[in-house]
Amino acid sequence: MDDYLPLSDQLKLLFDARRHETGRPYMLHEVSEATGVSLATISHMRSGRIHNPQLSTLREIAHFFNVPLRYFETHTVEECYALLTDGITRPAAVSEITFRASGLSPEAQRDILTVIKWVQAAEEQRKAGLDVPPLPHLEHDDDETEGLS
Amino acid sequence: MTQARNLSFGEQLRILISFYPNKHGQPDSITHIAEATDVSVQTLLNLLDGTSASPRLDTARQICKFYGISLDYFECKTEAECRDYLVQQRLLGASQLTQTIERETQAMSPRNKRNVLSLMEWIRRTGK
Repeated sequence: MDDYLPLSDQLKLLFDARRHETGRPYMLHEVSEATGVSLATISHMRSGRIHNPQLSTLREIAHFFNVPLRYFETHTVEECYALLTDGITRPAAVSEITFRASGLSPEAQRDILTVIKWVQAAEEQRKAGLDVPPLPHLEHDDDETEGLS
Repeated sequence: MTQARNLSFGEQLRILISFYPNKHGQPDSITHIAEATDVSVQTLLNLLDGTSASPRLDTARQICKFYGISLDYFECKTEAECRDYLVQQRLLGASQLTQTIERETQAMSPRNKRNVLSLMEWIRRTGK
């Protein structure tokens, strides 16, 4: 048997990524009402008690959350994210980050991810009211540092 | 967002099976598909004749894996859409193979590259 990501994990990521415009996650009963899939089925799929539902059920869920059906064939969390962000119109800054990062070496891309995780952690701390040291100043070509070389 | 659904799973499955003929130019037999996918003959028959309206996730995954397609195939609404999808998949599969061959041969010495060409020529002559 293939090691697909468990359906319950796929659904958790889906509920986490696709929310109301206000940022509030969808409640199970909202999804149930919109898709016609019973509340019990959705709830059991999310908890892992149902891991092999009818494909027609998942098709309703996929339509509701606007993901392709192959979302339920993913093997890794990364694959899920790739499908979840596929075709999303991104804010300009995010597009620029993606564009710039795509030209970098794999090592540099991993560095970027590390920095992003650091910034995320810093933001959490700031939200919790803790002091966070400012990001170190990084030198750029367009800084006025032409005397050095 | 409920879209009109024109094809049943059974119809989609029938189109899929008939799209890929085996080496005798016939569609695979249900027995063969059942063995290769580890899905029971009865399950396949029930899907084909509409006794079961929808496959289970595992069944659909196994069928897709056997044919080298994704679950997205089961979103196709018309026979033409199904065929378009399958043609696309076939082209995609073929170009991936070609890319793999290109990648694998790139690092070879000129002599080995010539050997690969000789082998290809040999395959062209022997096989149809």
